[in-house]
Amino acid sequence: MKNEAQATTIVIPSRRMSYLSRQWPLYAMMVIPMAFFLIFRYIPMAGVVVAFKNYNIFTGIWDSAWVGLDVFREVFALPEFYRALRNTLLLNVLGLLTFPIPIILALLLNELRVRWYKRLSQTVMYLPHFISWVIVGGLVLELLSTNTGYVNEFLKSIGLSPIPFLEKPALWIATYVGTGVWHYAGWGTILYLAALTGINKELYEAAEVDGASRMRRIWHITLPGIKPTIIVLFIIQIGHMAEIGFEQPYVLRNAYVMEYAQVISTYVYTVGIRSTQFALATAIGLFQSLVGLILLLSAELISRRVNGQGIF
Amino acid sequence: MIQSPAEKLGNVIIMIIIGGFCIFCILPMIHILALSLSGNRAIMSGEVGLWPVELTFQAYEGVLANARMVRSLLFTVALVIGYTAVALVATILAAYPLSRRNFKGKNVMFGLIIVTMFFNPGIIPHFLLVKELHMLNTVWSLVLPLLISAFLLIILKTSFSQLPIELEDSAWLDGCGHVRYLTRVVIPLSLPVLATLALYYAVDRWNMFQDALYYINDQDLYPIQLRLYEMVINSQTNDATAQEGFNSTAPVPQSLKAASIMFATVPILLVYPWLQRYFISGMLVGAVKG
Amino acid sequence: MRKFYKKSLAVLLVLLLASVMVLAGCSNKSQSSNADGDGGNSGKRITLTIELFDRSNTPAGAPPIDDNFMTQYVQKNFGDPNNIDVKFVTVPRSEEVQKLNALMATKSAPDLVFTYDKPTVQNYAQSGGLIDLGPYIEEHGQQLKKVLAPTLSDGIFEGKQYAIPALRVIQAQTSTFIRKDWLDKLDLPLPTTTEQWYEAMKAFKEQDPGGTGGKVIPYTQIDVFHLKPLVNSFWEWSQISEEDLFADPDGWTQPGNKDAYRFLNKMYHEGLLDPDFPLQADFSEVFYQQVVTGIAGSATPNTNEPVYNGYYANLKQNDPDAVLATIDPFTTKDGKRPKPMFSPSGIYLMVPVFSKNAEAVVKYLDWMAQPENILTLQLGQKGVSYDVDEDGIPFALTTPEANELLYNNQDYAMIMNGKYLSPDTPERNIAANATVPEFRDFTVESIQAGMNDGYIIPRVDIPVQAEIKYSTILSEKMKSMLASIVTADPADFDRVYEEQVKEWMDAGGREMVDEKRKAYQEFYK
Repeated sequence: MKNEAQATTIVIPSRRMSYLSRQWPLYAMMVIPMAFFLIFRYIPMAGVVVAFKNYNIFTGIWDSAWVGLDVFREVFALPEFYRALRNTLLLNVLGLLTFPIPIILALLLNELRVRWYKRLSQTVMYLPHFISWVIVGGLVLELLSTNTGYVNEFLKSIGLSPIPFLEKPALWIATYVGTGVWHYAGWGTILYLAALTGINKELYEAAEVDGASRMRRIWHITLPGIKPTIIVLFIIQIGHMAEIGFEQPYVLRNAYVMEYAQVISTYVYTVGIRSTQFALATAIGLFQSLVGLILLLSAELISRRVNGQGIF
Repeated sequence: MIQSPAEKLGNVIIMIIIGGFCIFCILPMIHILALSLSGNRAIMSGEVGLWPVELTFQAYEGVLANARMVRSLLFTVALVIGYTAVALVATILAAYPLSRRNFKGKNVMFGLIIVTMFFNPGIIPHFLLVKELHMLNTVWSLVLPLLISAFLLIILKTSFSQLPIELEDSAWLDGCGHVRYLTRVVIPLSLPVLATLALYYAVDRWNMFQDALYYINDQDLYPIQLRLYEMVINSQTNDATAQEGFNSTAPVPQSLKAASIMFATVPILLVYPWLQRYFISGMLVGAVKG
Repeated sequence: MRKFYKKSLAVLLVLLLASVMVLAGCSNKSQSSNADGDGGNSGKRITLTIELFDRSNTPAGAPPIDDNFMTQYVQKNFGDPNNIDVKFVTVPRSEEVQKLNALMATKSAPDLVFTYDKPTVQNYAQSGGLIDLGPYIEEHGQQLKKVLAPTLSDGIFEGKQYAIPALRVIQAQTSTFIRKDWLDKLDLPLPTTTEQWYEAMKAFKEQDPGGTGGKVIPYTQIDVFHLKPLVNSFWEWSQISEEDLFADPDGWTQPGNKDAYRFLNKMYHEGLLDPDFPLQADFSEVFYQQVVTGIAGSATPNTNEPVYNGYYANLKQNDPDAVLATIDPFTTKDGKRPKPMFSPSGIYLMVPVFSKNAEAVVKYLDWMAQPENILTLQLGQKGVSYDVDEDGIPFALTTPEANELLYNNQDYAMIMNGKYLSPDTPERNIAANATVPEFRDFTVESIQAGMNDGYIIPRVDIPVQAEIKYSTILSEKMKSMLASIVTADPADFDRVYEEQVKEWMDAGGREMVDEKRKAYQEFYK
């Protein structure tokens, strides 16, 4: 008995020891990154407490008076808030429909054999990402104005009637989504292309030997090969459903479509920053964060069920 | 590889689709290029489409002669190179451990990191922090607060965790520790993803100016996009300049704006072609076999 | 195993070194130039920080805006004699409100700050963020008091002098112009009534004297701000009191407003307005492109804007026969031409509560108020950047050297909005603002028209919470209201107008108007 006990006490510490002696570099590596997140992400996060205070910028974050959920009550009582939320979700959901486009483009590019053509088109496709929305806004106006835009002048010259791209809400939304694709698609393909290079070439060779057609190759080898990347990106995009960038809606909007163009980010800009109502802006931001987290976790759980994998 | 006629037709169709999309993407750039080389009168009249009208290099002369612009460009290049290097290292340091199967506490740490993707308290708390750390008006304020992107970290971790387990096991059996495995095996096999991350970090830093807007006062530390943004915005009168009335100055000519846009965009465009050499596949095959 | 530990130790050391370097970099590289007033330690010499707008328009070869002729002049003539280091802290002009808020909230703002946005000023005042400058002005600001006599009272909140409003030399806000050469071609006189002007607009459209091939836009720059003279001419002024004017300056509750918009609606459907006006952001470049390319027939831009923004000159370059003439046609039933004017107060100068240098700030502003200092700060060096004409009125030169000195001249003499010679010569002050000799007549006429029958919104010291809260939201809303109402089908006009006004009321308009009324009654009881 005593010998057995001795034997166990010797084994356990060495098991722990061997875990640490093998894995300790991992903990060492995590020091700098975790320090970064703690200092530059978690410390400022304390600032969200402003959403629960009657924030006076001179009294400061800590000394301003606590008002509990009053700010949130005010937010939900604002007439335009729900509209901004609705528009945000609407534009994002439609944006989600364009999620496959970078994937398709990456797949197409991957099929190209002519190397210079492939390289050139990759570089050209990501150009739009570099043009800031401020410039794009001006260009869109030049192109798509109902009466003086290039596109409509062209249509008129061939006898068709002009299309009010920016006037009618449905068309404006389509324009919004379209410019979003233009701005982002080429950029998004880069990530998928990188993932595609990780697929084992041998699989393709074997498939050829088996006489598989191009479509079957793509379906059975390529797509599964980048499946983890697709899943991760999709989940993250779902997590961002309640948020939306500021610039694109801001520069593309006009007086005709305010009903649909006012999104949370532009609304906060109007209400929160310029009117110096920081507490309001922070509360709205907090609301978005919570919604985002819930969406992310839901997507993660569903993905686990369906795909067996998620982000974690 | 011998392709069937159907496949060859497919190739042509693919080239056409890709080509079409490319044209769609490049047209605005060509337009801006044309504007930058055109005379102002023609621009005002709306005559400039995809080809310069009244060709002139005046706008570029203006930009290049502006020592401030050039200095800003050089500074931004240095900033982006430094930042990308540091950010890449930091991201690798985080992604590798989080991608190991047997790493206790990884889900907690990862969860903490993901949470930060969502909660953004706005500029004031960040400003206060940067101020308390005495980083205001220094280069560090443009590097440290953005050291690691949680999104890119997730991508890299996903990529790292896809490497075959056999590789790690055989490395361990060979007496190779984590550091060696990381530097000798994982990184070389992950070049495409790392190159992508480098590109994304570089471009994000190149394009972002909102932080510099708040943290930087020193004219020498203005990133180029901030200069550009100011130039474009300031040339539009708004209700504030209406208030100034007599105190407004003439707007910046369109051609100068276009030339500045080209000036601020072309350098970063050159990064991707340079990085494309890292997008090679097939290295994995050799490693497994070897 | 040993090799393993050695390697890991090396790795650890590298990591440690890296972190140390990073942290060292953090603390040593501090060059925070927005210190709050505790510069040099030698004796009583203090550092005074002054906000300075950066318009990103420094010409090539010119010195930086925080170290040039003007700043050196300030240091030499004010700083040194008073044992003060004057430092200018630059803020990008387009983001000035946001950055100012951030600087105030983090106690990083310079000693002297300013903004045009009155609700922001009121917000700072009632949050206890500003220093009462009254006592300092009494002691050190006599010249300042003399020069800014018309405006100082506008900076009083809750009985304290929390802000010093700059003097706006030109109070005219907007002035209408018309293409005189087109009128001449059509043998039409300069319009002096709304009717005549309307006929001219129709003639421009139907007969296209400018030869634009159908692209002509008779009346452009359609936005709420620039439509005010036209809209005001439809109001029933006999039924509008000072209180009404204060409570609702945009006029959605004023009698006669609906008729104004009915008129605009009619004009829109007759093709007399810019058909794409709702697509453009306010004050956009599209307007002066239309002017410069000879498409625009008439508009009501900011007073003298065609001159100081350079597009009158550009127009003349493209079309030497083009002539813009100032007109003031929008008349009420009684033949009056009411239009809003700016109050004499321009930008609001303030000192944050955490500054220790309020006294120095007031001394600085008082020094600035001396005529010779204003002259130098606005016009630079005699012979180099400005000269004096036969009447003794200084005017800026247009040489490149002059431009290098003057491209941002308005940002140093912050107590002035506009060129100013002295408190004793108001007419000469106006003349000094005709910066381009070639268009001097246009400038003077423009100013006169802009002040003709002009009114100033009455001043009420009590901050209106609803205004602070809703003003930006409502002004955004007004853009879409304008679009809906003006472009609505004429048959639906009444319905759409009523709907839009109701929406405005519900979105905070009613609350704002009511509170403003109460404030007015309270203030003037």
